[in-house]
Amino acid sequence: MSSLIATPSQFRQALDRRRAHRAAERRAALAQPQAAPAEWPGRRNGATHGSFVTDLAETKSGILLCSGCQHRFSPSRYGYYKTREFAVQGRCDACKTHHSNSEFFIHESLLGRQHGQCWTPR
Amino acid sequence: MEVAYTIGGGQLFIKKYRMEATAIAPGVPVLSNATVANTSGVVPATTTVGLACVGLSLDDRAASTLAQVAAGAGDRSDGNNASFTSVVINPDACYRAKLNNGATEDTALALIVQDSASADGLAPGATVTDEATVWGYSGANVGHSRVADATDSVLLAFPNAIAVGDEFIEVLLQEASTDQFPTLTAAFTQIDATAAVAATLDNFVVVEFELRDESEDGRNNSFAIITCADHAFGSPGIVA
Repeated sequence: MSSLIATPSQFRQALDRRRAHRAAERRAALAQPQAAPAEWPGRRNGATHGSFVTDLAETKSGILLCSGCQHRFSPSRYGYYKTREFAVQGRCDACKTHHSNSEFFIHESLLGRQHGQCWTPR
Repeated sequence: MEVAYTIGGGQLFIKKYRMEATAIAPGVPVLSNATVANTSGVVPATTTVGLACVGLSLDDRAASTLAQVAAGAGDRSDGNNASFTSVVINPDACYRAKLNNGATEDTALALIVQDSASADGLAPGATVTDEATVWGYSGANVGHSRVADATDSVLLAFPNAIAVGDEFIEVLLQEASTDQFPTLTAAFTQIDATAAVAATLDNFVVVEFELRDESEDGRNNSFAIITCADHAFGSPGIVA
């Protein structure tokens, strides 16, 4: 019964742990490589991954996702095509980490070889 | 245009770059705007210049505002959701661009109809352009292409005799040549087969052609595969 009651020292320890964790997150965010001057910074730190990717989908932007993040995106739901013609690498739009084996999704309206299109499924 | 392949066979490297205040269509080569001192991002190529080319755009973007934009609902970027474009930045990437009969996109190529027979295969019509690549559209020389060395002859003879009524198509470019460079169409997504740019090496080089004949609607289905002669991240000979 007495173990269920938190002592002031335990409160303090929990508070210290939470502060340390938040400080570690801030350090990790600062340790990310700075974007090149013209490179688009992408998702703001703190913004949720899923809502950011769906915002990209709403604007019919190309979406690049790493192997860890791509299973959470449903391309057919947003009218996207999962490209398989080339292996792709780049910075994941969700977790902002660079992966050499990523997936690139392109909106279906851009498929074809006519003017205004830039990808041909094979 | 679209990515056809990379010379080194490697992965495509796709990055998102900010834009200047100029609309960028999908399949347009984008430049780093290197000659401008103050720049906020990439710009589309011009019809004759691909200086400091960064790569090929894969997004359809309206002109970006450079002013501060109040964050709205769903705004997860740095103030303007539409201020970037996805770019394939491989310096050895080769792009497949459709050939058109003029500056307007999706225009069928013109036919050159043989008006007098040529038994030796050296005179494909009387209106071919000097230094153009001419290929058989119908007749005995379908599937063959040659380079013209005058307005009425080719340097290397076609393998078969040319009969009256045989049809040819020409494009004012040559494969693997640094003597003439392509002119892009008005929207910068395809190639104007009727115009060429003299050698300046800040444009694109033709790697190969995909020339089709009457059986495959070659007038609307012929392409040139080009690569950057002046890439911002290296020359075409550097494997990414």
